[in-house]
Amino acid sequence: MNEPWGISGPDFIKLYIALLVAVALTRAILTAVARHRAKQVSTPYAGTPTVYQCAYLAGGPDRVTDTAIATLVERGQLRVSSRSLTWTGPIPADPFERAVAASAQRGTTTASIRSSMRNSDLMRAFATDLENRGLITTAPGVRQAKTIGFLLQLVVFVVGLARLVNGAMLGRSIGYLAGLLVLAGFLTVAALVGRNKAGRWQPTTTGNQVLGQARSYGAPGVALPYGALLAGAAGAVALGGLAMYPDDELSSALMPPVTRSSWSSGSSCSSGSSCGGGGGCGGGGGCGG
Amino acid sequence: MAELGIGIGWRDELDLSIARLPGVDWVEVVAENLHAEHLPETLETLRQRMPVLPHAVSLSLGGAEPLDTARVVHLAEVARALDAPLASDHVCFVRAGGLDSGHLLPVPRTREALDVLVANVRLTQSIVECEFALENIAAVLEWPDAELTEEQFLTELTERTGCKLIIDVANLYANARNLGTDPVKFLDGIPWERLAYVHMAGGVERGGVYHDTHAHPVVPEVLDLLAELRHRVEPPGVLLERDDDYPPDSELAAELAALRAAVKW
Amino acid sequence: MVSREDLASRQAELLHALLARGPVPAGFDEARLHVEADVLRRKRTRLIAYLRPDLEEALGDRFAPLFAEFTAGQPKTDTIRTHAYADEFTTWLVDRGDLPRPKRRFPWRR
Repeated sequence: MNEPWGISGPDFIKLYIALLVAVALTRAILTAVARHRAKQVSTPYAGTPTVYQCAYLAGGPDRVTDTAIATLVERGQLRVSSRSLTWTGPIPADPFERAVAASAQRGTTTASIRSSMRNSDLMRAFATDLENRGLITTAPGVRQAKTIGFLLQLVVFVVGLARLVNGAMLGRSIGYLAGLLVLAGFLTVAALVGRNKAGRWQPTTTGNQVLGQARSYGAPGVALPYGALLAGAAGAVALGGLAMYPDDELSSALMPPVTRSSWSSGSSCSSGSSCGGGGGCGGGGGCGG
Repeated sequence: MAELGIGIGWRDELDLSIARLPGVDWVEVVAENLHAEHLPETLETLRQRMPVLPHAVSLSLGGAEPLDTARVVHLAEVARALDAPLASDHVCFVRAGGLDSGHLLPVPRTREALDVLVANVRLTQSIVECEFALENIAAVLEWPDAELTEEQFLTELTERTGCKLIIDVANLYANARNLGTDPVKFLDGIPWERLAYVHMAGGVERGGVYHDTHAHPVVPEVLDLLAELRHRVEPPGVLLERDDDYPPDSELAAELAALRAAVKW
Repeated sequence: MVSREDLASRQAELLHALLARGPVPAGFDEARLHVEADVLRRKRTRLIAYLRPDLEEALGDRFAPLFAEFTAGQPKTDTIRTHAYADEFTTWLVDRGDLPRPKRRFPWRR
């Protein structure tokens, strides 16, 4: 009897399973190697990191924003209320602080400020600079590895599909193969999604070292050349997030809520701003509404 | 009513700041911004350690159309929820002919208008369980054919209803600047035994008109007027109203300290 | 003797003059009336901008003049809340083409 492609059904199943396993292993190895390579950096880091650089290493763009917020709050230039953050002036000199102040002229929230800063030109330029200094990497190699992985997965899927179609035309039983094909298809889609998500930044080995040194500031016997830069609320928040802001009440108010609560201002009259009035409604005028 | 001290207008945006601001003895809150059944947590906490007095802006007690008692009931409920010794609104109207001004407008200083105001205040007092006070407003515009001065109008109002008065010194100054009224004569003509407390606020001069904005620091002339008031009576309380463009906490504290100095506390 | 109803209609007349560019009622200083009308309009504009920063951002410099035009033709009545009035303003803007019609949002795309 002539077997399709010269391989019997059951044999093909075994072969296909082996192929899927092989591809899975290959993908894992390729990605791990690429990740490891990405973390190595040829240019050694020399110099003193700024509190914002530490913040980025510890928590990315949002952590940088949080650090600027913390600095302004500590200085009394950003007022924290239960529901909002408002800038009280004057205009700060530091670019990150200035950007935060600009977005907080009317009441705003931590989440909103983070959102507007995340993809800003300022933040992008900052990230590029960190990459140039060898502290972070967007790991292009990892993306390449994942692309290859996706292509391998795709080839395996196509092979299986061809066999399935062929088998169906010949009236063979294709139950098991169909099952495997669903799995193969799923893995292919997952590989694509994973690949598209790749390219996010991660600290390099040097970057992690710098961060580690920054975290050990304050430990007994550790003298750091840049310890002073991590003093105050800015340092605490840079390394540990808003939860580390040195005032419990304010740190709770600063942290964005876990559930998505979108209080559009004025949607409810509970507290302060207006059943009718915003500015000027506090007795300066009747609101009637 | 017991001695209040120096107070500040409670605002949502200032809730955490006010709780930690030095020199705050009490707060006033705009009643329309509250629901009696669920007061803001920070306000409830504050109420544990200081008086919180509700202040309405929309009763339109000088309005000749029938009083909207639902709004008075709301004020009464808020006052009850706050366990407040006093509630208040203004000598003004805000609604007429189906329209809503969004701002406190003056009423004619005539006997007829006073009759309307007195009737509305009496009705309000029957609904609100605690003491009730009315505040003088700032106006840029005056009704023709006035029969009474503002201080005469307020005096008769208190005599006929037994209500108290909130004297807004910034509004007094605004009227002096914009309408040419004599603030000292006004101060001389007020029945001070009816005083509940005093309002102070900042403003700015723009295009020849003084605007009582509540968004600027208190101007020195208004502080001087407060000192002038102090010669006639020791007010039970003085409240700083700030509604917009909030400055840093340090500046708010400084403003409160200035009020304290002006009344020699 | 002016009755309560007379006072009510005089108050209505004054509001109409202040909010909807109505005729100056007898005895009032016209210049002062305009100043007061400005105060009222600026206050309302600020309030709407506070409630709807999205509108303010979308319209930029045109926000104040457009609102002035809208409110003169359609002053706020005493039966609706300010938020609803802001919605009326939005509808007016969309109808005139000053604001793009909002895109249909699918429920799962917030």
